[in-house]
Amino acid sequence: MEGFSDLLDEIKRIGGPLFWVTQKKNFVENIQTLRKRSPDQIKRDVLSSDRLRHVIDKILEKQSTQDSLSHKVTKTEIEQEAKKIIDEMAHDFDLKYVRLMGYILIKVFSNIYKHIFYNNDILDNMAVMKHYPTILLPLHRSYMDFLLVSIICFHKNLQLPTIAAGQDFLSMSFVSKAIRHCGAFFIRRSFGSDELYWAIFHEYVQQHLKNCERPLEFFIEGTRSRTSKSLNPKQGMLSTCVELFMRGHRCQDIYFIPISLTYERLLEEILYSNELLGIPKPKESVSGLVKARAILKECYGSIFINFSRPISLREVLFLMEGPSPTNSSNLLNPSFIFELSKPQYKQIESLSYHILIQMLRNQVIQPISLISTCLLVKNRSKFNTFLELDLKSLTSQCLLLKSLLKNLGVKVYWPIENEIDGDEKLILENLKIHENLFDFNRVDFISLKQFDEIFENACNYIALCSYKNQLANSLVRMSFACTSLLLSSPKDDEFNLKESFEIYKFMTRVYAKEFIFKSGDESKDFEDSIKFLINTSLIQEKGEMKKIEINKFNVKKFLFLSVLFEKLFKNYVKIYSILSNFVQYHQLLFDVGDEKKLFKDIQSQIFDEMKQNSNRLDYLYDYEVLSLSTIGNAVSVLKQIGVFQDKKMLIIDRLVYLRDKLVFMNGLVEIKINNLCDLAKEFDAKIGSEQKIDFKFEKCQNLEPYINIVDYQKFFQTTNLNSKI
Amino acid sequence: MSSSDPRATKRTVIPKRRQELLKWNGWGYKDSRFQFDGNNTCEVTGDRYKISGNKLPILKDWFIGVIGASLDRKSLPQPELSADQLPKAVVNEEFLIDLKKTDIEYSEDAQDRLFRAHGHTMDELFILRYGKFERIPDIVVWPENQEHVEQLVQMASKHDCVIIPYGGGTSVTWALLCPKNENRMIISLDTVLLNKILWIDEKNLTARIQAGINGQELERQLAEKGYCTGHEPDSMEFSTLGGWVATRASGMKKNQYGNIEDLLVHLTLVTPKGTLSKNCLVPRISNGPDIHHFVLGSEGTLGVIVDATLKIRPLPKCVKYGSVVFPCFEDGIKFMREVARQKCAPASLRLLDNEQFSFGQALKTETGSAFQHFIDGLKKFYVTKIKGFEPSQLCAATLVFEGDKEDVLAHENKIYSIAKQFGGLPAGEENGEKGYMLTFAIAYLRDLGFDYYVIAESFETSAPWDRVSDLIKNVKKCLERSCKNAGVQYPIYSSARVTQVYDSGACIYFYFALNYYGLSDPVKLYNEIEAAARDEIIASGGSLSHHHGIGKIRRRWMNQTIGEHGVGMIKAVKNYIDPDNIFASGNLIPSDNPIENVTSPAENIKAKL
Repeated sequence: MEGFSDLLDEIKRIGGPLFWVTQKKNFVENIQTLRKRSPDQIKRDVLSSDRLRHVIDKILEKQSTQDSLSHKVTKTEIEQEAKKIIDEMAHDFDLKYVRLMGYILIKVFSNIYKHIFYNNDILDNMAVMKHYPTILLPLHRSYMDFLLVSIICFHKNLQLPTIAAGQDFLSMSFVSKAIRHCGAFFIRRSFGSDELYWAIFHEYVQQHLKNCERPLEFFIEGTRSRTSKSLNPKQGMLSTCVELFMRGHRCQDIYFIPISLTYERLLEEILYSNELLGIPKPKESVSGLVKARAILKECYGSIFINFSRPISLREVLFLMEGPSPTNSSNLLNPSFIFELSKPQYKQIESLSYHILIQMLRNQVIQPISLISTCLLVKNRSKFNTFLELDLKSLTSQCLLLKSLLKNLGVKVYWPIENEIDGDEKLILENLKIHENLFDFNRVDFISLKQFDEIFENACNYIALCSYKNQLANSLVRMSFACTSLLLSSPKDDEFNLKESFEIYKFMTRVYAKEFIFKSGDESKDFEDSIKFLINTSLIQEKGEMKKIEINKFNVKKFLFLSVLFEKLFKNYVKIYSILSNFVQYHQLLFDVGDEKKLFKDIQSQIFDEMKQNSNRLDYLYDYEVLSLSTIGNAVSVLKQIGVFQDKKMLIIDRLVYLRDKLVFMNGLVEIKINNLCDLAKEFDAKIGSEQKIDFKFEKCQNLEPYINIVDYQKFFQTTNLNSKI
Repeated sequence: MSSSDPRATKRTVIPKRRQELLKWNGWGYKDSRFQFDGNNTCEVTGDRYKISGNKLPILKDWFIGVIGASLDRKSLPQPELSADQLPKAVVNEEFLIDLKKTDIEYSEDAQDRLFRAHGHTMDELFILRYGKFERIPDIVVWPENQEHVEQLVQMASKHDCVIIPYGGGTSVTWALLCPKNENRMIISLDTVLLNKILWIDEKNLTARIQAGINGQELERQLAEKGYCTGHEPDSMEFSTLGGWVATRASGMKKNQYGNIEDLLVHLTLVTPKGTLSKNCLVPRISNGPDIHHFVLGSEGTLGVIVDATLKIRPLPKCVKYGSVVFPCFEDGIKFMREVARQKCAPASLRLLDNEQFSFGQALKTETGSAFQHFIDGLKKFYVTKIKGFEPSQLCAATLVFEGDKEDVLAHENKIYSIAKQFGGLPAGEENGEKGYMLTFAIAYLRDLGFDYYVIAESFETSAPWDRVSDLIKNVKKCLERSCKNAGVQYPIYSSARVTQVYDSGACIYFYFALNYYGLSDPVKLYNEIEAAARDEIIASGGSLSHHHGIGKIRRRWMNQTIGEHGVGMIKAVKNYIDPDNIFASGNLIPSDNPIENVTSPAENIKAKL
């Protein structure tokens, strides 16, 4: 692809992995580095830091005021504890091991991957590493992510990052040792109020940043996203880093480099599906690793790694608060006391969304995402599993989506030669890589593999969805705008922008966990989306009043966008219905208890229903409703929008209210879409182009649950009650 | 003053018509200037300074090489302005009638008025060289005693006139600028005739001194009696006692003698409400908030300081310069911190960064002797090759020791042994002295820069020890970044000096020069850059000012720095003591009009290209 180079190809050309890995290396150094320290020296520096001394004194002081009977730890004991913590945490970077690992990985990678593409302007974007503390922030989709980032850095003579990793690997001492040697350090998943741990963690991270020996790397999503959508960003690690600059500019600036990775096929594909369906993730173990060798015999297509433009913390803060903090009162404590004010935490949250949105925007979308999206949308009115489509329709649909994405500025990888049926060949070729998911028995007909068990079908379906999900954040704003326009007025071809924005906002709040929306940007996002829809002629401004109405020539595109996430809406309705059924008749509040258990309960309930009605399964929801991710998101978002009291108690009438409102919305959308389908048909007939573009929606037949809700008055009354939720 | 002091040694008393002795549009004495001779070698004219009459052969290379000036491109100043080119005076006839009844000297001469319309910021000099002031004082008065001052303040109150007290005119905060939209008559109260030492009390070691005396005159007169105050700000040739008190000045040797607030025992302030003074001359007092501290740093907003009683000291028997080079600036800072921790700082202790150290070397006078060259080369070889110092990293501390001979020797030993812990090498007396020479030469050198499209300024701050190093790095980077963004086409010169040490922090002094050739709006640009640098300082935990003061140039940050109530307290004092705002210079307190707070007086003057 233009602007990208293939790592595997380059390695081959310079003489193979062995030569590549043993080259003499001259890494570009940061001029801020005062002195180069060994991993052990860094540990010693942390242990002798003012911060640690301060915290140890504090702990001793605190226990001296407690009653005298309890056991008292001595200073030496705390110091030993600190030593233990840092030994468990610290990396042990050693280039020798990096070379060894690099050799093994490249050997494996050249077997299982076709291409590993990275962007050509990587060196321009990484140039800040020479002057500033730099943090690499990759999307987290696979365990491969950080390995790939390090390999590319090694390849381009960039200092290898120091990586913050979860402690998952610690159980495999052999692997964890190897990863430590490659520059990873381990942090506990949660360490709440353990002051000593906090202090060591802060100091360790900030020492790395400040002395800039090598860049830092962590995952802003916290953990791997199992759905290939994005997880909401976490702020813990980020605030530890930015405090260094935010409080008294103790470094010149911090640069963030968003790194977007996309995989044509994930190594963890089926593992993730299983996990989402409730089979726990296998514990990382050496024996598991050995077993996993089987998966290394297949082909996993291409990978894209896009090192994007660096984001300057200084500039972001300047835009938020001006040149110097108006209230600099948090300079009044010495720098070894970690301190951020509430407004600063807000800024960090906003920053985390800003960065994550950049990461998502710079993903290179691969053909499989287009294919799975089209396949899912085109079969919207059928039951989940019987997804099928003839190759021709699929191709034309994909091309349509591709042009839409191009207009949105999304980078799409679509490598076709100039030959007849190039697009179709490309699609077939791509599907080959995913032959575990698809059935090729019928010529020129693509269908999802069928199984007897619901579980296996669901597993397959969810895997397919994960590729569609790579596109989710690129399309969601547009799609929500279309849906909200549809809902905004009683007449089918005329829209009300003001109402529409209210509905849009409501949607972004309810689906906040599914997609990445930066709070405060709603109106800008909405306006941009409307502008996009106008500029691509999906809608048009008419008359002097600039009334917005649908462009009849492009009804089908408009429909396509409108139905993209409809299953998700319906899944939420399903989940909320089940949840409200858990409640006794008169209950006002419902204690959710153990959340994990609750999610499982909801999941098995839906599963049972599906089993009982397996012949009558309707289009009202899809298999993603079984995903623990969907269930978890649907429930935990309730806390954000006021359906919870004290994080534990569900407020029943609000839940019911929300559920009904979503039912309403779904019904209305359904009716609107059917009307638009008719409109499209009519229009096609008029201009005699009916079969030319194959983009016909099956009209939904089963509208039972939504009958009697076409009362607009009532609907808008409910949307206006927005503030209640 | 010791004979080795590089500052002016020729006796001079500033005349009433200052422009007869001093430059009307630049720094210092008319007869002393840096200029390039026919062979493009820099020479220093006159005979006032140790460096005077010498050639500085390397300076040209620095000038061209470091800031990219070209000797062929000159930006010469406008000729002296005639009376008709200056703003018309606002005349308050009733005040004039009353004034004529007294025996106070005064002048309505345009050039006298112009001379007192400004201080010495880059903006003000830019106006003098290339533009015009919109508002200047309408009359200059020369009171000779306290009674005169009291009469003047009363008359001004009675006839609703404005008084701006004028001491040495060395302010660098726009403090002397007349507010543009002041419609009342503005009186510049020049204190040059209030220049007598009223008494010296050798038992208590104090002296009462009139506020208009300047530093060199004060020290000279005290030295005749065998005493000194030890207060030596870099501007001491011209700046006055009243100015020091009004701005909370700091002197080079504050480690030995203290800053002005430490030296001050008593003061007299004439205000519109009446005359303010304490009734005792005591070393310390627990008497509620110290009223001296309302006046210290009041910057002419409350009244006229007519005299002050200062502590004095016997002249030191021995004064000795010294210097130490360090492999890098960080090591130097560690050394400074250690000296402060052990509370053993010599009279003066400064740390010059690499840029300033090299600049000091560029001021080397022609040595002529081949032997000297040989020695210099040898020293350089020893430091860079044997000791492994990186010439682009090394920095130097300069020192002044004072006291009895044995004490000075012991002190030297202690300091050099601390320096050794941080990799410091003693580098001789001469280098130390050269470092101090730079600080007085720099103001003259700025005028040379002006002639070649180079503008330069200094600014300062104070910060806790743990922020010193980051702050300096941040500010330098900020200057670089801002200049790049503003389209400055030549490399800039920025340099920092840790110029005072305290128990809990240090004072940091920055020099900044840029070649504005090719830019049409250098003043606006410069001010934006300085504001960005100040924002960076504040964000890095530094203060708004260590000793320059606020004036009008920094009042926009007052609320941010001391809070709304802090400003409120200052306002309350001002409203009580000067309800009609006679002392209307507008210093300290931010204007209600935010644009006024950030606009430079020279903003509309474009560069001549």
